[in-house]
Amino acid sequence: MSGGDDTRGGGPAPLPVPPLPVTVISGYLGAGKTTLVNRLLSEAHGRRITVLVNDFGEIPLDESLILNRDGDTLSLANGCMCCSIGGDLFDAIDRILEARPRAEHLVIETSGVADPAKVAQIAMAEPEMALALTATLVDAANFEAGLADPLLADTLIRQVRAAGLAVISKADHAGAEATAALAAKLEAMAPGVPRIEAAFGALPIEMLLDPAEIAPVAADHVCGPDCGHDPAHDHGAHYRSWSWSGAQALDAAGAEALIGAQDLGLYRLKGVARTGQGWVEFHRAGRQVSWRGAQAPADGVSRAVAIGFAARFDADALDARWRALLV
Amino acid sequence: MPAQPASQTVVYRARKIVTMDPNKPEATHVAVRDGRILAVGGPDCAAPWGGGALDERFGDAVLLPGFVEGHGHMMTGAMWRYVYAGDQDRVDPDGNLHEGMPSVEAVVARLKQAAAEIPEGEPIVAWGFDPIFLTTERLNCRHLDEVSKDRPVAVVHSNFHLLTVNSKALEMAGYSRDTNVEGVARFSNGEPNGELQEMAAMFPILRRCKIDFRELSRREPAVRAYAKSAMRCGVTTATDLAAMLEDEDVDGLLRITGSDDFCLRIVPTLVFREMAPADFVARAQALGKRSSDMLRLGSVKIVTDGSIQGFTARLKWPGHLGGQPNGIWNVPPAQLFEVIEALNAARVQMHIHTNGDEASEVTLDALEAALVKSPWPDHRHTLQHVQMAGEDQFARMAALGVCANLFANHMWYFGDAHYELSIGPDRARRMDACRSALNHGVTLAIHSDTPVTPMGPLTVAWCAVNRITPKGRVLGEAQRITVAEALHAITLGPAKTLKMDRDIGSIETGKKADFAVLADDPLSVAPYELRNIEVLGTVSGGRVFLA
Repeated sequence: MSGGDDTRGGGPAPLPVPPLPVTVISGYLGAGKTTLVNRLLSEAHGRRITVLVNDFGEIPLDESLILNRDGDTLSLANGCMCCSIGGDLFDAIDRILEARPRAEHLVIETSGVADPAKVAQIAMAEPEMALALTATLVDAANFEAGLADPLLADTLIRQVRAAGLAVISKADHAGAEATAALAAKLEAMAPGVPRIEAAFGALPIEMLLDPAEIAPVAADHVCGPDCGHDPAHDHGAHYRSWSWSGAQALDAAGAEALIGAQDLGLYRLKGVARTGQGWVEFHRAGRQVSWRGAQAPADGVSRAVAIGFAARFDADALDARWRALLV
Repeated sequence: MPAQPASQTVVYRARKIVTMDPNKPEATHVAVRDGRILAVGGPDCAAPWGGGALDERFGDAVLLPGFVEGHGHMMTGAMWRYVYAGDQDRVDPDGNLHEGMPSVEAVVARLKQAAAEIPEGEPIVAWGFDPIFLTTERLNCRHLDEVSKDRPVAVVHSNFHLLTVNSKALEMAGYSRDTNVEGVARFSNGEPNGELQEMAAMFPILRRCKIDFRELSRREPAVRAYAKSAMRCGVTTATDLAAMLEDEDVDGLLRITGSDDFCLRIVPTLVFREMAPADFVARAQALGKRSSDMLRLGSVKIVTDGSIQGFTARLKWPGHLGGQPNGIWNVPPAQLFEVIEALNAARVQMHIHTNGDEASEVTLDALEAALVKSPWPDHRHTLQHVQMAGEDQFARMAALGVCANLFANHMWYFGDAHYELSIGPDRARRMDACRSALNHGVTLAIHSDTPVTPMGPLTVAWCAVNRITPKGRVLGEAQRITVAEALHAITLGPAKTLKMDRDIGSIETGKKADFAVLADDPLSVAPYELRNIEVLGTVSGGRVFLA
C-alpha cells in the first residue's frame, strides 16, 4: 500500500452518516446479470446486501436460503434481501431507504436496455445513497452480434460507456481470440473504462460492492484454490490501493479535478475531507465523480482511499498530486 | 301474483342528437330503459315499446355519444391535491375555475396565497407549470424564495420531467454549487438555480416532500376526481392506460366504479414490466375474469420507447434534428417479439406505446410475426401515440388489422417544438397522420394522454381538424380530417380500440345510455370553434350527471 506519514491505520474510516452504497449492474439480455445477482444473494460474503431486480421469479435461488416471501420482497437466511422493482424504480428505492435495519449495500439490476448512467444518477443525487460502481456485463459470445443489429448497437454502446467497470462474461465460451478482439473493441468504444474478464460469474464480488475495501494483493501472491481470486483472469488486473488521512484542509477545486483525473488509472476513490468550503464527501467510480457537502467526522480527521488495477493505477502519482493540494 | 313493476322508460328530447349511427345520423329524441338505449328518433320513438315519460331537461342541448378517452391516466385525478400553476385556465373536478397564470410573478403570487392556506410545516407543491408558454424570465429558486424561505416550495412542470424548487428544498436535498449531478441546473455563478431536470435529480426533493403522484392516484379521491373531470369534458368511458392493478387496487376500483353515483366506465390496462411472458399473460387473464360493466379489465399496455419532445423516442433515419442520440427502448426488441407473440397467442388484447417511427416499425414486425404464427381475426391490437408513422406503416396496420390511437393534441401542445427542435418540418407535418389512417381504413382514435395534456375530446378533435400550433402554423394541412371524422375518432373509433363498440360509441338501440351533453352542435359551429363548445355534463348508463 502506498501512503504517507500521516496515514493512520490504513483502511477507510466510516463516514459520519454513512450513505447506502449502490452498485448498478447493467448489461443486455443473456450477459449474465441474473447469474451474478444469484451469487451476490447466495454467497457467504457476510454483508446484508439488498438486490433490486425486475423480477425475482427469474433468479434460480436455492429455496433453502429463503426465509420469507412477502409480496415484492424475499428475505434470505444470510441477511440479504431481494426486492422486485414492481411498478416504479423510485418507489422501490424509497422503500429500501426507509427499511430498518437498512441494508449495507444496494445492488440494482437494470433492465437489458436501460441506460445505467440514468440509474447511477439516482444514487449520485440522493444524499442517503452513494454510488459505488456501475458495472456493465458484456457477453463475449454475443456482443458482436448485438453490435451488428442497428436496433441495439447504440443501446449496447451506451451501456459500456456508462460503466465504471466492464465485465466480459462468458469469455470461456467465446475463446481467447474472440475475447481479445472484444477487449480491443471495448477500448475503442469506451477508452479508459477498466475491463475484467470473468468466466461465468466467477468475479471477486468485492469488486462490485465496494472495491476500495479489497485487501491489496501482495506482489508475490500466487492464486490458489482458497484465495478467492478468479484464477482465470489476468494477474495484471489485480489491484493497487492508496490511502491518506490527515488534519490539513484540501484545496477544493484542485481536489475535485484530481478525483476526476483520467490519466492516473484510478478506478475507485472515496473519502471525506475538510476544504475551504467546509467538509465534503467525494466518490469516484470509474469515470463518475460525486462531490457534495458532508458533516464533519467525529474525530475531525480527513480521509481518502483509492484503488485501481495494478497495471494501470499510478498510486505514487496520485499521492504526490494529492499532497500538493493540502493547505 | 303481483305484477312486476314495468321498467321505466324515459324519453329525452334534445335540440339535436348526433348519433354516429349511419342508419339514423340525427334525431331529436332518445328513449332510455334500464340504463340502455331503447329507441332513437322523434317524439314517438318509444311508442312501439309502450311509450315513456318525456324529459325535456336537454331541450336546448345537443346530445352526442359519451366521449371515449382511449389514452388517459388516473393520475389526472391526483393532481388537484396540489396548487395549479399552469398558464391556461383550468376547471378542477368540482367545477371551480383556476385562472391561468401568464407570468412568473402571477405564479409566485398564487403560491404565496396558497402558502397561507397550507398547514405550517407542510411543503408547498404546485403542478401544471409550463415555461414554454411564458415570455418572462425562467422560474428559479429566487422567485420561489419569495413564497417561503423556511418551507420547501416545489413546482412540478406540466411534462413531469422538470421541477423548480426554492432554496430551502435545495438545502434539504444537499444541492449546492459543489453538487455534481446531471440535471441540477445552475445560475451563471455556478449555484443551483432551483430547476431540476429528470427524475434522478428530482427524486431527493420528491422523497423529502413526500410527493408521490402514483401512490396518490391509487386512492379513492383520485378515482372519483378522474371521473368528475371526465364528466366535465363529456367523457363517459376512459382508460387508465398503464396500471399496476394489484389485487387491492382492483377490489377498490370494483367497489368505487360500482357505486350509483359513479359516472365513468374505466378501462385500466395492466402495464408490462420485465417478467416472463407466460407470467404476464396469466396475470392479464386473471384480471380479465374480474371485469365488470363499469370496470373493463383484461387488456394490457406495453411501452416500447420514450417521448419525442423528451428526445427519448426511437426514431428512424435521419433521427433528431439537433443530432441528439436516438432514444431508448423500454423493452428489448427481442423481448418485445416474445411477449407480443405470447399475448397474441393467448388472445390478450394489447395497447402498445410507440412514439417514434422505429418503435412503431419494430412493433409492427413483432405483431406481424405473432399474427402469422397465431392468427386472431379481429384482435384490435392498438398502437398508442404512433405519432411518426408514415404511409407505409399505416398500410401495414390496415393489412394486419391493427388500430391506431393518435396523439393529436401534440399539434397544439408540442407542434412548434417538433417543427423547430425535435424532428424538423418534414416529419412534423405528417405527425399524428389522421388522414393517412382513415385513407388506409385503419380504425382511428385520438387522445389527450391526460395528464400530459388536459383531457378534453372536443379539444383533441379541434387539433385533428385544424392542426394549428400556438405560433399559427398549420402543421400538415394534408392530414386534417373533417369534424364528422374527428367526432368518430372520439366516440366509436376509441370504442373499437377498446373492443367496446357493441356497448358504447354511438347512440343506437341496445347500447348503453352514455351521452355527452353539449351546449352546441359540433357539426354546425365553425370548425375552429369546436374546442369552445361548452360541455354541460354526461349521461352514464342512463344516470344524469351535470357539470
